[in-house]
Amino acid sequence: MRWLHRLVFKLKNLAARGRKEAELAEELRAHVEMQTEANIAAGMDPGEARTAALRKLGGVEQAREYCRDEFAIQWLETLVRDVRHGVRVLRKSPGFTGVAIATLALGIGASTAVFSVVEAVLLRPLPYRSPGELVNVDFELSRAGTTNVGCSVPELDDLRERSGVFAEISMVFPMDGNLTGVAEPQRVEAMAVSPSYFRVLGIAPALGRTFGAEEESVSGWAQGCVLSHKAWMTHFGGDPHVLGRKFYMDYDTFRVVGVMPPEFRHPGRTLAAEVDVWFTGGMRAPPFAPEPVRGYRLIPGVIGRLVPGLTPAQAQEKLAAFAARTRHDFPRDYVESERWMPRASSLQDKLVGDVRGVLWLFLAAVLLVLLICCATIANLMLVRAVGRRQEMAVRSALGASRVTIVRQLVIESLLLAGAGGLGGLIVAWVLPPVLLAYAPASVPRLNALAVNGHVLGFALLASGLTGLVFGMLPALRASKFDLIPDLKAGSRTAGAEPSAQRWRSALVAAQIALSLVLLAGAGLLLRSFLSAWHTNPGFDPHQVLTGRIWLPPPSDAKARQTYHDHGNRVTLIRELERRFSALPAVQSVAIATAVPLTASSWSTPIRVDGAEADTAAVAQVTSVSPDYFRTLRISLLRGRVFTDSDDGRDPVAIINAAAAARYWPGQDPIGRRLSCGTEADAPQCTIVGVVGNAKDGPLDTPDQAHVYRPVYQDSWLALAFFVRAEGAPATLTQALRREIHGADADLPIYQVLTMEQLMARSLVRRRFMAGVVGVFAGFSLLLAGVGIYGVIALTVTQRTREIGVRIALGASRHRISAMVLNHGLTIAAIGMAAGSLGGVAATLAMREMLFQTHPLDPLTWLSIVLLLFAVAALACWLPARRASATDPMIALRSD
Amino acid sequence: MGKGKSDLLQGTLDMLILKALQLEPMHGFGLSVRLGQMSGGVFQVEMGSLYPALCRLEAQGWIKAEWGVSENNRRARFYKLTASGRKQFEAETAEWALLASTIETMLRAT
Repeated sequence: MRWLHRLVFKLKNLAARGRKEAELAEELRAHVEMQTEANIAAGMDPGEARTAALRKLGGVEQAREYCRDEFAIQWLETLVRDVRHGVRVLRKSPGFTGVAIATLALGIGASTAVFSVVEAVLLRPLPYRSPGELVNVDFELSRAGTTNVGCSVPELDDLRERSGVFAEISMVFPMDGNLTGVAEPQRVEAMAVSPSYFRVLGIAPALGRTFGAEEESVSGWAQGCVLSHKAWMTHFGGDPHVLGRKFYMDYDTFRVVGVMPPEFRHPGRTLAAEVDVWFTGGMRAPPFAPEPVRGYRLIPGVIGRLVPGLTPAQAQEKLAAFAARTRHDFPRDYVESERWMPRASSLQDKLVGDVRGVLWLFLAAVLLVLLICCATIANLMLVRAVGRRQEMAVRSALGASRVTIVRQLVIESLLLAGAGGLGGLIVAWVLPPVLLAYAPASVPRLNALAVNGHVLGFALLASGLTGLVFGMLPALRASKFDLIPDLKAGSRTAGAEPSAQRWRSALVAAQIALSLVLLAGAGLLLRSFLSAWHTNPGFDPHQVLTGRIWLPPPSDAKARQTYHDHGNRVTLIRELERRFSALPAVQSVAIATAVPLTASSWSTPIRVDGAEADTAAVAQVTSVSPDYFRTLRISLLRGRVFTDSDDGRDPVAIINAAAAARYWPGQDPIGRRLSCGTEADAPQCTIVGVVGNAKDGPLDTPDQAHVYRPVYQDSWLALAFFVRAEGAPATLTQALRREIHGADADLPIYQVLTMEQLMARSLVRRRFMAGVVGVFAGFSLLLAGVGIYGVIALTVTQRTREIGVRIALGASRHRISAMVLNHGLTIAAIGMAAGSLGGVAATLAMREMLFQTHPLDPLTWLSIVLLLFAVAALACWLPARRASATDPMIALRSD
Repeated sequence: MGKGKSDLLQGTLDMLILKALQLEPMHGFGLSVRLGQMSGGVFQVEMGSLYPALCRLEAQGWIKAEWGVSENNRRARFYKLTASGRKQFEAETAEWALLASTIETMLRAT
C-alpha cells in the first residue's frame, strides 16, 4: 500500500504545486533567519551572523530540486510533456498526419464494423432467457439417410412427456395467412406454435398476455393470437385498445390477446418475412384428425428448452435412448431399418449455421487489411524518422536517453492510433447499416447491431495494438544512430544507409504478400459467383413476371370454405389464366404451385413402377398448368407436355432429366408409372414426358429429381403465376393485381418479381461475399501500390548523386529505368512468393465457399500475379522515369 | 556534510530525524540544532541534506508537517512523527542494532 500512499501524496502535491514551492522557500528563509538569530545570540555581530547562516545554506538548490521531484509524479509529467510535444510535432506535418489517420480510421473502422456484426450474430448470446438451454430439434431417419422428416403430433407429445429432456417444447410451423377484416386483404407471415412457445423462449409480451389456459384447452386452432409489434403498427395502426379486437385470417376468426415487444423475433426459418402473427392450438380438431396419426409428420420444426443443467450432448444421449424406446413401443409406425431419431442442437448454432463461415471470412479479410494499414503507416513513420534523425541526434546530444527517444516516438504513434481509432469508431458506426443493406436477408439478425462494450473494446485493442505495431519498429530503428554524422548531415542524406531501406522494402514486401492473400480470396469468390451466375437455370428468365397467391383454407366449418375443394381451385386457376391471357402485351401465362429458384416445391417420397415404399426415393413435386413449360421455355426432351384435358381422370406426370437418370437409368421412362406420397392408395401416374432440368433452388445448388403433375389434376392452396410479357414485365404488375382481385377480391398477392430479379436474389450471398472481400482486396492493392511507390521514389531521391555519376559515365537512360524498375519488381516478387504460401493456405481453408472453382484455379492465380506485377510496375514507373531524366550536372553538384 | 565532520551513512539521517522527532514536533532549524546536540557536535546537518530528507519522510507518510509558531514568534513548519513513522523508527532501530553488532563482531574478530 506504500506506493499508493506515495501516489496519493504526489497527486495532491501536483495539484498544489506552486503553493508547495512557495512553502518550501518560506521554510528555508525561516531557517536562515533562525540560524542568524542563533549566531547573534552566540555573540556574532549581525552582518557576520547572516553571512555565516547563508553559508550553511549549502546545496539548498539541490534540496529544492529534490523536494520538487519528490513532490511530483515524474512519469505523469513526462507523459503530459511528451503528449504535448507529440501533438505539436504531428500538427507540424498535417499531410503525413492526415494520411496516417485516414488510413488508420478506415482500417480500424472497417475491422470494427465487421467485428460488430460478428459480435451481434456469432458471439452475443440469443436475446432470450437462459439462451444456452435453447435447442432446435430435427428429426431424421438416420439409417435411410433422410433428414428433416418433421414430426407428428403424438411424437411431439412424447418428446414433451416421456423424453425427460425438455423443460418446455414447442412446434414451430410457419404458414401463409390471408388477413381480412382489416383495411385491405394482406398476406401475413403466420407462425403456428404450441401454447408453450413463449415459455420456451422466456419472453414477456409488451401488451396483454401470451398463450395461457384458454388456448391450452382448445383442441383445434385457438382464437387468441399474439401480434408482432410491426403487425400491430402496420395492420392495426398501433391501436392501444387492440386487445380483444377480432380479425380474420384465412376466413377464420382470431382475437388479439397480446403484442410482443418490438425487438422480439422468432428464432428460426420463416416463409418470407418476419413473423406477424403467432397462433396456437391443440392439433386434435379440424383441420387436423381428432386422433392424430403417429406416422403423419406434418410439423416441420420443433424448438425446446432443455431441463436446466443438461448439455445438448447429454440431451442427445437421452434422446437416443428415448428414440429406441419409442421405436420398440410402436413397431408398426417405425421401420427399424430406417432408425427414426430426434436430434437436438444448440439453437444458436442452428440459426447461425452457414453464415458463420462467411463472417469469419470477412473478419479474417478485414484484419489482413488492418495489417496492411499498419505496414503502410510503419513505412511512413520510417521515412519521417529518417527525416528527423537530426532532431533526434540533437536531443540525444543534449542528454536524452534512448528510452526517452523511443518513448517519444511510441507516444506519437499511439496518438496517431488514438486519432485513427476515433475516426474508426465513426466509420464503424456508419458502416454496418450500409453493410447490412447489401447483406442477404438470411443473415440472422436477432441481436441488434450496436457499438457496445465488446465492440468498443475491440476498437480500443485494435487501435492500441496497431499503434504499438507500427510505432515500435520505426522507433527502435530511429533511436539507433551515430551521433556525429547525423548531427553534421542535413535531413537530405541522413538515413540513406542500407538498413533503413531494407526495413522499408521488407514492409512493402509484406504488404504485397498480404494483398496477394486478399486478392486470391476475392478472385476465387468472384469466379465462383460468375460460375454460378452463368449456370444455366434451365429456363429462360427474361421478360417473365412471377407472383404468389395464397388461397385461404379456414378451419372453421362455418367460414367460407371455397378453396378446400379441388374443383373450386381449378375453376379459379382457369379463370386467372383466361383473365391474364386477355391482357395486352401478354405472350403466355402459367400457374404452378412453386416458383423455381426459391426452393418452394415439396420434397416428397415417390414410388416408382409400383415398387414398395422406399424412403430414399424422393423427388421435388410441383403441379403446373399446361403452358408452364412453354412460358418458362423449359425444353421438352421426350414425349409431350400437359394438355387442357389432363384433369386427373387419367393421372399423368412429367419428370425432369435428373429424375429420368436417377430412376430409369438407360431406359425410356415414357409410359412408366410413379406415385407421389407414401399412402397406399396414391394414384399411379403415367409418365408422358421428360423435360430439361430447371433449378428448383438457388443457381449454385445441384439439380434435383423433379416430378411435375398437371395442376388440373393435383392443386394446392399456394399458387404462383408466371406471365411472359412482350415488353418490360414489371409494367404488368398493376393489371395482374386488378385481374386477380376481379376473380376474387379477398386474395392477397405477394412476392411479385421478375424471374431475373429472382436469379439475382438467389445469388445474393455469393455476390455479397465476393463484393465485400473484393473491396477489401482493392483497398489493400491501393495501399501496396502506394507503398512500393514510396520506397522506390525515396530510393531514387537518395541515389540521385549515384545515378548522376552513372549517367555521366555513360549508362543509358534506359538502363537507369531498368535498374529502378528491377528494384521495385524484385520487392514485389519476394512479397508475392511469400504471399502465395499464405494465399494457398487461405484459399484451401475457404474451399467450402467456392462453387465450381478449384482453390488453385490457374486463371485466377495468374490474373492476380499479373495484376500485382502491373501495379508494382506502374508504381515504379514514375520514379524510374524521374531517375532516367536525372541531369548529371545538377545531380553531382547537389551535395 | 561539513568538512572534517563524519559523513552520515545513507539512510541513517532519516533514522536520526525520526529519533529526534520522537519526543516532540520540531521545525527544520530546531531539528538541525537538536541533531548537532545529540551527536555532541560530531554531525553538522546541512540544509541541502536535511530538507530533502524531510521531503522524503513526508512523502513516505512517516512524518507530517504543519505550520505553527516558533518559540520566538516566527512562522515555521513543525514536523511531527506519525504512527507509521513510529513503527518505521522501531523497525529501523532494530535493524541498525543488528547491523552495528554484526559489524562490531566482525571488526573484533582476529
